[in-house]
Amino acid sequence: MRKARAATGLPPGGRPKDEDLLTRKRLSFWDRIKFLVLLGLIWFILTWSVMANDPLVGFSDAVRIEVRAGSWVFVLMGLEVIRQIHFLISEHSRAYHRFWTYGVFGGFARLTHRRISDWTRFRIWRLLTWLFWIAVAAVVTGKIIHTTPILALLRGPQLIWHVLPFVLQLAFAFFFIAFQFIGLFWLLSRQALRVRRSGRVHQHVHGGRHPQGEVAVP
Amino acid sequence: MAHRLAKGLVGACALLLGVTVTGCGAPQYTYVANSSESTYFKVPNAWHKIDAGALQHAMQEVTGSSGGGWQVAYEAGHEPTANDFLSFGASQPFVFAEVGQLTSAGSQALSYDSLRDFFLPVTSTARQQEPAGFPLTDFKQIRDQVLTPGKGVHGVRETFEYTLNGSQTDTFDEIALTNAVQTIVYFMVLHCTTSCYSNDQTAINDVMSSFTIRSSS
Repeated sequence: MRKARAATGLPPGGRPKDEDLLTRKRLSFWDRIKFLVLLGLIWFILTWSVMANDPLVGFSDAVRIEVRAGSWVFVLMGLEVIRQIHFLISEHSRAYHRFWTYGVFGGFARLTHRRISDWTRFRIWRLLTWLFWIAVAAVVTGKIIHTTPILALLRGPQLIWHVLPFVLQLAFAFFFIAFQFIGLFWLLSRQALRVRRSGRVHQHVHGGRHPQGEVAVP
Repeated sequence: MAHRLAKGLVGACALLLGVTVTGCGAPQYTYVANSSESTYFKVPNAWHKIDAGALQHAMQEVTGSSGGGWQVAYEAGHEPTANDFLSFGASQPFVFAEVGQLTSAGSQALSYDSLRDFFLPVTSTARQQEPAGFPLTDFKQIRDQVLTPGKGVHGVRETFEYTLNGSQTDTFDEIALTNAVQTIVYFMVLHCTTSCYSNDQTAINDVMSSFTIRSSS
């Protein structure tokens, strides 16, 4: 830990501010793998769609077909691995981090900070995030229904309408199955105040707040 | 926590390795599908697709009509040609599949016998009706099987031999199916020389038995 703090260039003690760090702030494990997990999931959905669209295709052949047809997913995975390696080096090397932060992206960051307010930058980022997810959904849906991403987007409402009865059926079934168990556990989890008189249990008061849950009355 | 993460990472790497190793080879089969007609079959990966235009041209030349509906053909070997479809002596298996709509008159007249005679005369009645000078002789029936794959789809599988002009003998293996309401015919025929048919029996059976219809009507 001390070694890690020393790498950032900060004295021991206290929580460092992001702008004071001389290396990149460490990513959590989930942040490191989330896009790889997402891309893996997309690839498995594409493999499943090959099997779902043709009753003759087995898993091994679906994998072989999608290794070729879905090679763009592996390209993106490779780029993401390179990005994570870049982050990892940036977290450990001050010079590397400084080069990228000030040498490569510094000008762009200064320009955007000068021209665009924080709020506008946040809104642009939010818009780009939405566009990214819509593009991912369009590409995956397009691959599943064998059409272009644009047409897949246009057919989106039709597809949602088509599966809506099934979704409602599932929701209905889930509600009635889950409702019983949720209700059961809700009843069981309620605190009960038992009033004991001369060795007999006389009364159960549900929802009581007594810390012991039991009161002995002589 | 770190131990669990490490285990997760190892698992993910093993999965990725498995996928990579599995995906290294080419698919065992080429899967042919007409999703709108719910028709599927598979051919060995080494078989080649016949160009649709060349296939229509070959049909036009021999039958005078290029046919209607969905048509697709594959041939084994390195030199696939559409001309092998309607000629004898193909040394490699040639498979042709077609899905066609029937007219209301055709639908009413459809029977198991008409399905048997869909491509070439197979029933004795149809063979006797052929005019004198019909070039195909020495008919030999190998299989006559009624198929009921389910959901009302029904039809026949016929395997037979014909000799052209007394010289070349080909074995034909065909499946002719129709849907429950008999409005669509699903047809597949595979043929090659008798020796080729017996040599490639396993691959041919794989192709023929893969012909699948998922009709809902």
